[in-house]
Amino acid sequence: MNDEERQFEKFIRDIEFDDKPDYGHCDSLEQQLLAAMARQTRQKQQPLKIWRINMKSRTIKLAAAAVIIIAVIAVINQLGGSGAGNIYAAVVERLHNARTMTYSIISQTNIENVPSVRVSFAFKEPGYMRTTTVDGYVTVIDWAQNKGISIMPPEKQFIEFEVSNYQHDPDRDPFVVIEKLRALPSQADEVLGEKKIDGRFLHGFRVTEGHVVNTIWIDPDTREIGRVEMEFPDAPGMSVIMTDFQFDVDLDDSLFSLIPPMDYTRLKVQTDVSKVTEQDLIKYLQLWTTWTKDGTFPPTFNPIELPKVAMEMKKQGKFGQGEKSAQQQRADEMQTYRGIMFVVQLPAESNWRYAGENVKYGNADIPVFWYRPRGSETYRVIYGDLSVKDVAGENLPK
Amino acid sequence: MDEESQSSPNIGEAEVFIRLYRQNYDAIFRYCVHRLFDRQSAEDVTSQVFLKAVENYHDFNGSEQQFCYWLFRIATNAVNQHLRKKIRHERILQQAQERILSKVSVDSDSEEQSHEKLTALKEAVFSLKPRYQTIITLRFFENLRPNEIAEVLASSAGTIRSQLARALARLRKKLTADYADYMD
Repeated sequence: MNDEERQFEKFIRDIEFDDKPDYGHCDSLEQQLLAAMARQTRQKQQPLKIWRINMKSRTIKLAAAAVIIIAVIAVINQLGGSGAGNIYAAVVERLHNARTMTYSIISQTNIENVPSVRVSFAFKEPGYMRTTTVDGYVTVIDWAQNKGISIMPPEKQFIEFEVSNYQHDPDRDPFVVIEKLRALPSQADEVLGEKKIDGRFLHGFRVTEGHVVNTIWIDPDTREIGRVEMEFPDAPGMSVIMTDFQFDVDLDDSLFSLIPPMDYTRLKVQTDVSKVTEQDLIKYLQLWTTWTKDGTFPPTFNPIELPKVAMEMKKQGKFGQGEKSAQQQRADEMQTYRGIMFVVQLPAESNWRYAGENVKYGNADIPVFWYRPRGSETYRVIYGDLSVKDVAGENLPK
Repeated sequence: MDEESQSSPNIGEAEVFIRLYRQNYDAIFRYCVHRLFDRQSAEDVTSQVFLKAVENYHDFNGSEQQFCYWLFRIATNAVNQHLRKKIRHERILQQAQERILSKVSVDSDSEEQSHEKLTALKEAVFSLKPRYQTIITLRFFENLRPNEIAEVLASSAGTIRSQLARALARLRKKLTADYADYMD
């Protein structure tokens, strides 16, 4: 037992629950259970009688046997009768038991010259994660403590963050990818057969868990995961591809250190996001249009893609803002952070969509963002002129 | 045997089930109380659990220990379903508070402290997502080990350990904010 567990156990030690069983209830329930069992027995007897009556005819017996054989074969195929199901089960067991894991996530983009963004992940129990982009940007997160550090080598800066008052929605938790992988069931919903991916012939298995559709491609010879594809039907365009899996590799604790490099300077970011609102999003959208020469909105809302995309846009000369003071830059950074955090915090059932790519500020007819607030029947739709209307679901843009 | 006249359950099967029922009633009832913080709701849900178990008993194939885990799984689903009904959830909190307030005598300092702790604990636990509530309750109130919780939730011990750590961190944060003496 660790300190955290001991602390909690000490706290609850002298709490009194009203949890003494009432044996009157226990006895009364027992009678109900006996009655329920008796009813079940009566119900089960009748189909037997029908079966026996039907089986008097030889023709019917043969037909029934054929149906049973076909049903059994269908079940075997569903389970991957050639042993494919065993391959899947073996791989899932590795996922379940791995104490460390490394993999890459490739996000597809619709951005010109930026077809995809690749980020490497390393995970170590109980809840450490490290991400590294191709440009060397590193983020380390201790999810048990909700603390993290982002390190930016080109600028020699770092940000330490403790996200206070984070409205924690489990479906938006960045650890959700890891936990959903580790919670995959031992049996797939569907066996997809063989497909050539990156030069290897892999066997595919599909599993739908909640609102995530997982497709797992496995090398049948090595039993290694070739690729995992995750799709979120509630958030079209947000598919994730994971590859380069390795399990139980030796990951030194220093990889997950929250201590910044010696010669780096701190970038201060106020991270209380308890009060981010729709207005923060609107201000951020407007801010972005002041940066771009053509007055368009951000090309994406994916927080992993955005830095890479912004760099590409800068290289292509798409930003037109002049020099700003350090104070103004910090204000812009905070507004950007708050605007993105508003979206990141939205629960899965908000069904948010962003459609502002290539849309110019001022175009009142084009919706750029919409979402459904918690508990609301209608959607909030933000248009190109940053006006907002409440719209019924059936009237949303297609 | 004349099947048409048989109207009582197979005696052997009923005996086994009732024995298992009596063996596990206390644990399941207590689990429901610790999840719902309300004994009346806990009795209702306990009834649902065992009636569900009777319904599906013929599909169960395992040891007595696995039967116990199976019951906890049914109970977890039943409790979560109970809590998901939002209006009832709010009523549970209100009724639980009223019952606790009416039953708990605040004559002594220690009783008042226990009552305050219980209220703080209830709010902290209810602030967690259902899976974390389940893991915390099974670990600290039903004293199951992570690998046993993994059996109940059809998960892996590694995942349970990770989720337990995160649940505790969230509880600590909430309890530290709401209950001044948590870290003492």
